[in-house]
Amino acid sequence: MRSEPRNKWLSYLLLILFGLVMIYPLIWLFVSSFKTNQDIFGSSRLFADTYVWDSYKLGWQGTGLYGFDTFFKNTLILVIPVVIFTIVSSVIVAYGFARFNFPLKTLLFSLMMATLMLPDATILIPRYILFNELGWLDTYLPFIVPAAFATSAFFIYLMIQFYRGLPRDLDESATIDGCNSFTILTRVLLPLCKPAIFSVGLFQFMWTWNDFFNSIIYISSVSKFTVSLGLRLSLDASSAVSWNQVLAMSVVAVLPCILLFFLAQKYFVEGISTTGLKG
Amino acid sequence: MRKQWWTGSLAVVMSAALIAGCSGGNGTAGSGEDNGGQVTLRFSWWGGDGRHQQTLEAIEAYKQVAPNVRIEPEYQGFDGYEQKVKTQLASSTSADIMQLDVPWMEDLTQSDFFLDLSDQSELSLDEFDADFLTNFSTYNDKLVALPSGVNAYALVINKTAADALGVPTDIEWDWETIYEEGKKLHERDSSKHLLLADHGVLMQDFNKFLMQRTGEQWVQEDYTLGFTQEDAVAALTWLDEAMRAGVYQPLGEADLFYGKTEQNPKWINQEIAMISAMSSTLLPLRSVFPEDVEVITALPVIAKDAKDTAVQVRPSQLYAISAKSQHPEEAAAFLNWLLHDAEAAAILGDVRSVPASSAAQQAAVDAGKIDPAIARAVEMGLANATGLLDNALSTNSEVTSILQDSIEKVAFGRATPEQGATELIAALERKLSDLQARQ
Repeated sequence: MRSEPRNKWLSYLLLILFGLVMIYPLIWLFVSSFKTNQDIFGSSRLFADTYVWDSYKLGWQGTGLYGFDTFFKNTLILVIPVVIFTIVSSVIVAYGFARFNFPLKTLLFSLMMATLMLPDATILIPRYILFNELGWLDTYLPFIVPAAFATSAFFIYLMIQFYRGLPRDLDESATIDGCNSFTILTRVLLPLCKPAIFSVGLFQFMWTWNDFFNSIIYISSVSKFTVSLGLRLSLDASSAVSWNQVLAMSVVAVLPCILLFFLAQKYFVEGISTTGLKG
Repeated sequence: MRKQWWTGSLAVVMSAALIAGCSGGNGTAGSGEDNGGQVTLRFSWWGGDGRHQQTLEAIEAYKQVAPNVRIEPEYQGFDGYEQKVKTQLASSTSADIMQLDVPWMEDLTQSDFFLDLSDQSELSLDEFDADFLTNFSTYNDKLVALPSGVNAYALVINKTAADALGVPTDIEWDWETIYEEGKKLHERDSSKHLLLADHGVLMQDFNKFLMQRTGEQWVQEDYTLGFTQEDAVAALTWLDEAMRAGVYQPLGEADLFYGKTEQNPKWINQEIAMISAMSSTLLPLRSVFPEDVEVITALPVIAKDAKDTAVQVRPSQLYAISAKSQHPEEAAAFLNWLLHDAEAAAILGDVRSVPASSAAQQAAVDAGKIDPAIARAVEMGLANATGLLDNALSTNSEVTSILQDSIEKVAFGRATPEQGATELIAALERKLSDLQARQ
């Protein structure tokens, strides 16, 4: 009993040390955004002798015609519809697979799961040709429209698993109370699915926000570039790169992801799905 | 009733999604829409800050030259550019004018993606070196691309550090002098090295050593080797001794920065005096130093009794015009202006290395926009370059990975030069007969 406070201190100390190790890359990123190229790569010390203060200002202005204000606006225009449509479509499709029996259900489910195993690279060219025929190149439609049709098998599967954990008794009691199959979803299941929905939203947000390869393939005009494209706009092996500006903009680019994560964090833990059965 | 509700609402949600999605963006990347004689050309390139800015400025200036032509710039960093251009070419959505890299051309010219530039009346070819065009721009007897600038293989020397370390900078290096100087330097101070080389550079050095000794390409086009066991032992022995004497930074440290040499702490902290590299990498290599550090270039290492200098020059990039372009004449006219015009050259300077066109080169030099160290590297390279070029086999990735294996074994001290040479020759002969059988 007497040794407890000391134990506590010890574990806090260990936790703090461990936490510092984990967060060190981010701290380094932040501090390095104020250093010169020479200090960034020339020494492994965290702090430098000289600091530059204009990296955020210059980095934000970007290269050439467009700056990061354009890139951030573009990214939001792209990411927000993608996230919303992904959530709506995945919730509905997963509901269908989890709660209904329909012809060819097993086959369709296997097909859906099969797309999960398909490497991205194999469908890149056919998809590109399809979107080209539709005249969607250099727009955000190749990202937004597929999201509206639940093309991410991963999210559907995640939602299906979550629905399966919700007892069917809830559906039945809701039917007795006068719900039809759609209001069961909206009034009973969705509130219980909050943690899953937030996971879907967060994952999709971060993946779309950070996605580089698909964006570079579909978007050609610099005026439509997203943040992840803007960050690499000036990286070239035969040019002098101002790394402090690149790092500064990287700091700004990870901020929304970090903020969103902490804001949505409580929903992960909230909502123990079976509590609805009590009483 | 229940079922209807469900399908009904699903349909509503989906169509709402579709409509909202469709209104999210409008307009496609149409190339060359005509409205009132106005021509739009798409021009894509990769690069860094400086290249983007100067090229955009040149495009702005072209508005005065040809008011009816609008150039739409599509610029980005190097990451993903190759994949993007290849995807675009495969689906006929490429820009009208593209910047391309030499190593991609072998692949890309298998299909008819590019306009034959030899019969474009707007395009002048006289200002280019004829050999240069034959070697790098002509594929399957078609002139498909033009060089934007010239890059040369050179020694990039940190003169400030070399002076401080007592390394001479005014001599012509051969394999003995570089070994002796490197050994002396490392003996004086074991934290210092004369040369920085990752495995790519070591392979280059090995090839050059062989080429200078034999006067042949190390792998011949007829699937035989251009060197004997004895030659390989000599080259690997030199490498082994240089490694042991500390002429090079140990490979284990240097290879951590493969492809990003300028981030090597020993280079940044000026503990290494030289790198053999393409002249195009001089800017990033210098960007990590304070203002007062002087960086110069010198001829690469050449053996005293060399049968071939093995000095290489290559286009820094190439420009090609899409065969699908709606306005090939306007595209050719713009390209001609970009490559040769004095005004363009004065704006662009050395953002794509020293211009390949003699007219543009003169104009850029007159405007004082060419870095003297880069200009010197290119000048020396052109003066000493010989006709011997890498053939397709000698850059084949299956072949070079065998060389990489042997070089690394010797550099890490895991094999003696004799063992390395024997293994190298056996593996190469097996691979080459393999490749020949596949033909």
